[in-house]
Amino acid sequence: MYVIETDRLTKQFGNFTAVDQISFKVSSGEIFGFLGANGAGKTTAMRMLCGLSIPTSGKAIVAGFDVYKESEQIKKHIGYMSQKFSLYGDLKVWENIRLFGGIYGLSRKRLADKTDELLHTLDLEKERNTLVHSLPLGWKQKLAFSVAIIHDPKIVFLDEPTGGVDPVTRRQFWELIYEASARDITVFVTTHYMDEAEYCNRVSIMVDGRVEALDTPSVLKTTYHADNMNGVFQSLARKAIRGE
Amino acid sequence: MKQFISFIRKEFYHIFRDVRTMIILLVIPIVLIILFGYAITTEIKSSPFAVLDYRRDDVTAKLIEQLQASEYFELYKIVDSYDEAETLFRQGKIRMLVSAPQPSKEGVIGIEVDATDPNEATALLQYATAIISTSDIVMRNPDIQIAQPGIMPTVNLLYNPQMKGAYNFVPGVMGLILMLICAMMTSVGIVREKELGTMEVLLVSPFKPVYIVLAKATPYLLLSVINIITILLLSRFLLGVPIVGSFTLLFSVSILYALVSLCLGLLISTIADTQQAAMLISGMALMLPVILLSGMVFPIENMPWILQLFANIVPAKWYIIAVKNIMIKGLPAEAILKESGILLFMALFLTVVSVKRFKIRLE
Repeated sequence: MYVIETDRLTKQFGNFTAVDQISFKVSSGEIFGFLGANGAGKTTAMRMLCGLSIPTSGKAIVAGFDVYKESEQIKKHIGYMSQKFSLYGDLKVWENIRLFGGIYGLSRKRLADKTDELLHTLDLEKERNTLVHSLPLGWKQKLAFSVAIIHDPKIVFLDEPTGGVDPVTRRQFWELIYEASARDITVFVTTHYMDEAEYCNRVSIMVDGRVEALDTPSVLKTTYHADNMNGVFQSLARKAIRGE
Repeated sequence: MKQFISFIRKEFYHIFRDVRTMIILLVIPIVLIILFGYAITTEIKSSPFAVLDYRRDDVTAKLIEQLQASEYFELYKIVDSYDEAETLFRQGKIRMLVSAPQPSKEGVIGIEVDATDPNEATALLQYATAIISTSDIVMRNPDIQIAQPGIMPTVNLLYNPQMKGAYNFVPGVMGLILMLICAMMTSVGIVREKELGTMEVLLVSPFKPVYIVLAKATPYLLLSVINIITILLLSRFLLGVPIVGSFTLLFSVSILYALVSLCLGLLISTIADTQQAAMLISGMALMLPVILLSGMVFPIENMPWILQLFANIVPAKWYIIAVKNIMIKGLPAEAILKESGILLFMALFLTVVSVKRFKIRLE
């Protein structure tokens, strides 16, 4: 069963084609890496899938809903965490959880259970009343991810979630991603770190608005005769014509 | 509804946990009222004057006494020659000279004022003329006339008999503060979310953009209600400005004006990308016109026509007129139909424009 299906999805801004006829399918519970150099069209593609931007042409079904007509439904069934920090620094840990729980319409009972569960999993029980801006960055990112999936969405979109985080914390962050995936939440992640690309089930690489390659990391490495994903990425990104 | 409440609660946390915001909300209104009520005043108090006395009889003595008795004037010196008086004028020691001629000559009492500040000069002239012409000793001496206007007008000051500056400034300060809180704070609040990146997260959530904006504006609307009440209490009991007209009416027109300000704030938030830019735009494009072009400090009637024309699009102008009509003159609702109509039109127009722009920004 696919949770994301796109067919020749295109977005143009005037004469500029930011996303050029991309077609792919993502299965339920899959960890899907969405790679590309800056300006390759990743963010625009992701915005269309989140229901924030209406495509120029092509088709896209996200979580069973059409991106043209049912963006409100899509928003209810996805989670989102951006490269910029997604929580409010001047709110306490539990206040942030309650806010997003409230926005996604969780019942009081479910919200209380979720809060306890989440704080327990993240080992943040002692920090319940701490203002988020005084937490270390790694903890913030983990908290932000957990809050992004507080409503058990079908898909969670992560836009460079581990920017500026040290390797150890990144590793821990990926453990959370695996847990979410085990709970059948599809993870759609963009990243600049090629070691993270190796953790994905499948990886797509965008160049100049088109999906140039899409497969499992091991197949990609064989196809492009590379030792690691960095090699694959370099040989593809070199073809890019347009800059940043 | 539940989403809405969670969101408004969050906004209040932002407000209460930010010292800068709290200062703007709580301290600035009080400071402005006190500043305009006491420090920045156009009232005349204890202006120094000199007397050039050729008459040297009880008439002059009586006049000096009566001028002194008013709180407007204070005798600086009795001079012996016109040259001496002129020197004092030049040195800025005196603002006014009263000359009493010898009874044998034409019995004209002369008043001369330093007109460097024309507003002050006019006021001094009026006060002095009024005091001298109504003085019983002058009335009993038909040979004495005042060198001032040939026809002596009867002065009757309507609505503000003591000519208190606060009557003019309180409505102005209300216009300023509501604009400050509703427009500046709302625009900065929305732009901050854009800057931090949390706006994206909110837009991806099922919470509709319209509600994001409404939820942002609601706390500021509530706080401005508190501020309206604070200002009215301060002006009533501290500055002694009465509320002659209907309180409900005054309150309603204030809310209408607050809504216009909120819409302006929203519009600014769609233009500005950083909090500093939002602050600067609201400062330059909103605060300055409120202070300079609303009639709060400078009378609009005295401006060149192009500025008068421009003043018409400053919402504060209409609000201040309406507040004065209700609060000071005690007029009924019919008297502010035009002003409220214009404010209502502005609110609707700005809502349409900013909602449109807000949508474009989302694309």
